[in-house]
Amino acid sequence: MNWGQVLSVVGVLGGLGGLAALVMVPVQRRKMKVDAASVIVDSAIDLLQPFRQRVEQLEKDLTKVERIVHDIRTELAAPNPSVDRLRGIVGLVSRNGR
Amino acid sequence: MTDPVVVTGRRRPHQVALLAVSLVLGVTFFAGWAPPPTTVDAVAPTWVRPLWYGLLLVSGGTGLVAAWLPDIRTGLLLERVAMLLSTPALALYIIPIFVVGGLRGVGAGAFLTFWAAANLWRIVQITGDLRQIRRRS
Repeated sequence: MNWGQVLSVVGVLGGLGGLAALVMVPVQRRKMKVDAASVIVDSAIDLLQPFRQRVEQLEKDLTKVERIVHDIRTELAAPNPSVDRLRGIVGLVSRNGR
Repeated sequence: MTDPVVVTGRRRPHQVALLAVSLVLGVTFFAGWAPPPTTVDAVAPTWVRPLWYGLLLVSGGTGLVAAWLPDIRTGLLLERVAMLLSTPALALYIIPIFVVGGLRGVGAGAFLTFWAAANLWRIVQITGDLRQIRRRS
């Protein structure tokens, strides 16, 4: 191989390599933007994590409160002998009082 | 005690100067305003010469555009391309210098060889920087 051929190989390989790198720039740029966007999304999710936990806790509390209200309503709806007895006494007293 | 001076900046004067030289030489040879160096003329096949002019022109132009781009990531990607194109362009000058001139060409040859080595060093630096940007962003 003479020096002219060496220069030809260097020129062709260098030129092709450089051109390939130039063509790849927009692709790499897009990839870096996508990476940056996914990192932003991850950061946003991290920031929202405490709020999500708080909402979950509040949902659990609400379920408990609903259960308690339901129990109270059931209790109130059920026949209560002492209340019935008191009602009877009140009715008797009001009638005698007349 | 740490040094309070931090050297930063994307337009390092020596690098910009060398990129400008590359661009000017590429344009000059392509336009035919000046003949190519006799060493290149003596060794390089005829069809390699315009390729050499093109490598000089595109590497210089790309590097200068990269230095003034507001987007740092794209700037680094283009600067790396400029260094990738500049290195074979320099090799196409270094080889004829030593082939024709032997040790007499050591002045220009050494200058150009270290210029090419600096290009390779810069490619490694940029690759590391881009990797860090990807990791941090």
